[in-house]
Amino acid sequence: MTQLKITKEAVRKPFQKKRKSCPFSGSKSKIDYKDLKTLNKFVSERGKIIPSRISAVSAKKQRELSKAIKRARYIGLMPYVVK
Amino acid sequence: MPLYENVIICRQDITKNQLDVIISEFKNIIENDNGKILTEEYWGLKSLAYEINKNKKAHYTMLILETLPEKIEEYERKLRLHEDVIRFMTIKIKTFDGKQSIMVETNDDENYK
Repeated sequence: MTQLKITKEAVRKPFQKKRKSCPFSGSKSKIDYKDLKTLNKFVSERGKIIPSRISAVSAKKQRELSKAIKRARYIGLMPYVVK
Repeated sequence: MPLYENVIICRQDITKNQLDVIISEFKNIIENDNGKILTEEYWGLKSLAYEINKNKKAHYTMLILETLPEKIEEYERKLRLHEDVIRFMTIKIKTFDGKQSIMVETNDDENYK
């Protein structure tokens, strides 16, 4: 009886997300609490900040982004929560 | 001397010239302590994302200041005491490129002229 060779094949990760590049890697990498257009792209419809593992933002830019969003919220330009 | 970006939010039911008086008052405080006001921007009567002590709209003004840090403490103490100013924010910035901020161009709210 030939020895059945069962090699443990690496279990393929079920959800292989295409490595998206950080949207702020290009020239427009200046994050400012005043330009609400870009900030609103990284906020969910309930007004919460989208985690970087979903928005594929680099860690450094995600820290700047969350600081800018919190500043915009403090001066009333962005809501804390959207009912 | 360090650069500061200061946003002053005033309550909605003050007139434009009252607002000018308030802002010039604060500018004098800075200029008396040999500080400098690089630019002053009025963002208009914007609607707030949430109510700030019963105000749905507010006058936004931004000043770029160049003063010593201890003068900013005195300046902020006066801002806190003033009853027309409902909120303010002071940020230390490294450089100021002199350009107008994005808020001025995209002013969709009706301007209180």
